[in-house]
Amino acid sequence: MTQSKERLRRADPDRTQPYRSMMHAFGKGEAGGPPGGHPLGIGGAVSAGQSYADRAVQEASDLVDRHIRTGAAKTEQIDNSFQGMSWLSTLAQSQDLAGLMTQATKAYSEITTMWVELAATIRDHLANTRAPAQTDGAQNAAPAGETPVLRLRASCMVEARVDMLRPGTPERATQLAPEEADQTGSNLAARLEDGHLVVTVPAGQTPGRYNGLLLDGSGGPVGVIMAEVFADDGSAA
Amino acid sequence: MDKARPKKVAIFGGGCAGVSAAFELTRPERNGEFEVTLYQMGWRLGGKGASGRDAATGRIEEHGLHLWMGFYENAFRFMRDCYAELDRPAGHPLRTWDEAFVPDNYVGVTEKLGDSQWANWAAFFPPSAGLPGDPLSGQNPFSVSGYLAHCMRLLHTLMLSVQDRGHEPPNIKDTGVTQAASQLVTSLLSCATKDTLGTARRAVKYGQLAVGTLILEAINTLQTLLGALRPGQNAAATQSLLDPLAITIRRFLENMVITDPETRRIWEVIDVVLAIVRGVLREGVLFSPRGFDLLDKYDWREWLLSHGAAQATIDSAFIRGSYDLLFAFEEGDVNLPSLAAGQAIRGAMRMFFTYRGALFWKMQAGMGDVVFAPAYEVLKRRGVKFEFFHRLEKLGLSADKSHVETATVTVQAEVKEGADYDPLVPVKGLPCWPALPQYDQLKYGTQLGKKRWNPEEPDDDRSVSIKTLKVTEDFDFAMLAVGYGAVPGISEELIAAEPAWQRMVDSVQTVATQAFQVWLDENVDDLGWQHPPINISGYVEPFDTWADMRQLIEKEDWPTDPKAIAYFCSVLPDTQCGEGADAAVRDGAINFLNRDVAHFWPDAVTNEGFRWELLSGAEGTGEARFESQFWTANTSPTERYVLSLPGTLDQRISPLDNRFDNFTVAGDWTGCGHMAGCVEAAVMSGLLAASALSGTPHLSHIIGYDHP
Repeated sequence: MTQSKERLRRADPDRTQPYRSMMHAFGKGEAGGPPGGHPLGIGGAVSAGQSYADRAVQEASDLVDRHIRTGAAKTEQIDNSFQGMSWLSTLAQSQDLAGLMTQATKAYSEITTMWVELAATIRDHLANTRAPAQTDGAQNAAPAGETPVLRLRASCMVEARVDMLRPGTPERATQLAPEEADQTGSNLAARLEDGHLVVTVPAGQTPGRYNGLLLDGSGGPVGVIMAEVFADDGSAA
Repeated sequence: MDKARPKKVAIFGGGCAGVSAAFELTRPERNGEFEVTLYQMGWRLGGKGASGRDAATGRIEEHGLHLWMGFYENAFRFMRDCYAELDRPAGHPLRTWDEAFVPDNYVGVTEKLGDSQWANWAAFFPPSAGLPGDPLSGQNPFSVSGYLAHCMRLLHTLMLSVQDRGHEPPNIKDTGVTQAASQLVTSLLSCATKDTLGTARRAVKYGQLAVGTLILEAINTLQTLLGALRPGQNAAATQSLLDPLAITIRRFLENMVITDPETRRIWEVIDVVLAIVRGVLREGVLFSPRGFDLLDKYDWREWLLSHGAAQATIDSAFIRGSYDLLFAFEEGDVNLPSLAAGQAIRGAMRMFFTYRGALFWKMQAGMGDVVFAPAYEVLKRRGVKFEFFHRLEKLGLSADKSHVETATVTVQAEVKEGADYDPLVPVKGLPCWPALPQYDQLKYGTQLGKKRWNPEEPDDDRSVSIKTLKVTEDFDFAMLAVGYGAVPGISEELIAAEPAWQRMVDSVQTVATQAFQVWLDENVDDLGWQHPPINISGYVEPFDTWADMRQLIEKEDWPTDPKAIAYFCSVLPDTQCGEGADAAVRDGAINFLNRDVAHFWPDAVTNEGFRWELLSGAEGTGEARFESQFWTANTSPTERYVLSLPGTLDQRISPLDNRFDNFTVAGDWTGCGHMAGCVEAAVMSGLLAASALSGTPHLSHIIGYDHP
């Protein structure tokens, strides 16, 4: 047996856990990947998550729309049918029954629309993630895995916070774009500066909610920046 | 360091994990960077996937039932690369990978209808695009949102399939509240019909089931909100109205569903999918950095219940089958089902939504013949050194606990005249592993053969010598790739040195399994089986799973071919492990054939019990003929199956973990991304272990590792 001259050590791995967060699927993939893409052909593939979500929302909406329309028609019919059931009056007022059924329809509508809204939330997150606003060029990364300290520069009332999506080192921040597509306000500037996240809200900024992303070195989102700009009288948009 | 010197890797354990790691480390593109020695207890590779050929009949004897699933991307990639490199000549019995694996689109579950009545549910899963191991291009298929979209499409399809069956609401004859409810539902259905005028008949009926559900959901909600809705009202009076209303409507729906078992089964699947969608959204899995891991603290069935699945659904064959598939019973006790919800969902999503070609793929010979013989031939050709009859006893750490310094190995047998052991035997031209060692190659082989010495037996203590392998002399890197049951004993020093190892051995559990195989002189269709060849789970213990393996007949070498081959398997209770395990499995199999197999093969059983004359190659009469068949109690540490118990999966050590800097682990028991006992998890772990030692394959190239 040949004697080795030196004991060999493994290189420290970049990580020891899989990426479980959906957000990673929409980044640019890991830094350091071998050139030429995946040997099996998946290198550089971009998830079509948004189209999935879009279809999901559409299908969910179709389903619920159908039910709600059914429920509305149903309520009218039930009102009529129960009016004619005299025996029921011994149990309750007919109008109470009609009211109950109306509430039933309402309750159902609320339940079903709730998860459609959740699906829509998915879509919004995906949209925000897949089309980040232009970055502001801040280069001073925050410590890995830690939420950067937030600094607000604003002349109006603003509430802001950062939610980290996964462990990672934020290296740059996107501008904060208005949450609603029809919101008229311009984007808010955000940058990382000595480990601090600085969000600047100019005077006269349109009240409303603004969202941006913290990105790691590979362009993958590691956190979400959320800011709500209030009107001068303190009211929300 | 001399850069030209190959890095010596000692791999302990030649199951799927160790072999796939060796395959990666010795790829020709690496130009001999690694010099791999694989140490294997006994005479054959395979671990829990090992199989052997009987010398007289060439029959295949497995540890249990092995089916490959259509989502085993990494495992199939391994096999495809292996067969391509092997380049077997034309006319070879299994020349290419797609001759070795054949699509199987049928899967079945058995469901209990009463105290003693069972029914079979055979489902056909249509072939899907592509083949497992094909390049994945265009899009990443693994995201929670993608799976939710799949779920919704599945719901849509299932509902349509129910409507296709042409159900009409039952005609309930009753008075009072029942009549009112009946009218209510009828009017709703009428609305649904009007609402979908101009659409196809399928869409009209699609509304029926959905509307019925919405009524129930609305009323249930109302019941909880009653007091708040109408303060001051006599709630009790209203409740007294609503309760019978809800009960009646539920009965109405149940009638619609129960009148047709197929509808009920579909409804159970719908119920499961709805619960998954609700639960995933409610628990924030979508945006959690932990993905489905977030749910691993819950048991799968409890989690479904908490998100609205009906108890009947939880008890359904569909859900019970998922536990059977993973032997998910603590201590092997079928009364203690336990399965981490996150991994269960991950597995279900991968299984049903990402399979390619077919849901299942069946091997066309023994797993040893199809997987490990080709792998052995390729690795041997590449220069991998195999040390058979070497059992790892202990890993020793350096004084500073930083690395593995020694590996103590028992040499169970020596090969004559220092030659290499030649492990394979041809059966009808196919290289196979024999069911016992090739004694004639061993020193003292005649004596060993007379005793039918089996070095895999848990109580085998034959020791020719003890070797102490040393770092820098015998290995630079060590890889522990044995079955988990043996890990605690081998790793005592690692466990003492590292709390994470201690936590793993404190939490990860295994279970013994049992299996038997029978060869019959009549085919199962003639014995009353009325479905296509199938793999079916969920049946009565002690053998809840049956697979029709008739495709193997032509690969065996009987003087007269049998007409059917059947494999049965199940978990084995810890209470039956030990000295009497083998006899317990045999007795259980005999009882099963006498008492339970009539459900599958009614004509194989008479009032006196199983028709023992059906068994092929048997001698004698009655139950004694069963002695000629094959059964196994998989109770030794390396044979035990690793469980995916709630609250334990995050305690598994990853192959990437670098606590001991010249060491890694591989096996389906590791933190390999897909934490279930299966071939795919084992291969993923092998790839991760190779990556840990060499930097490649890149983690993003291990399909499904970065998966929610």
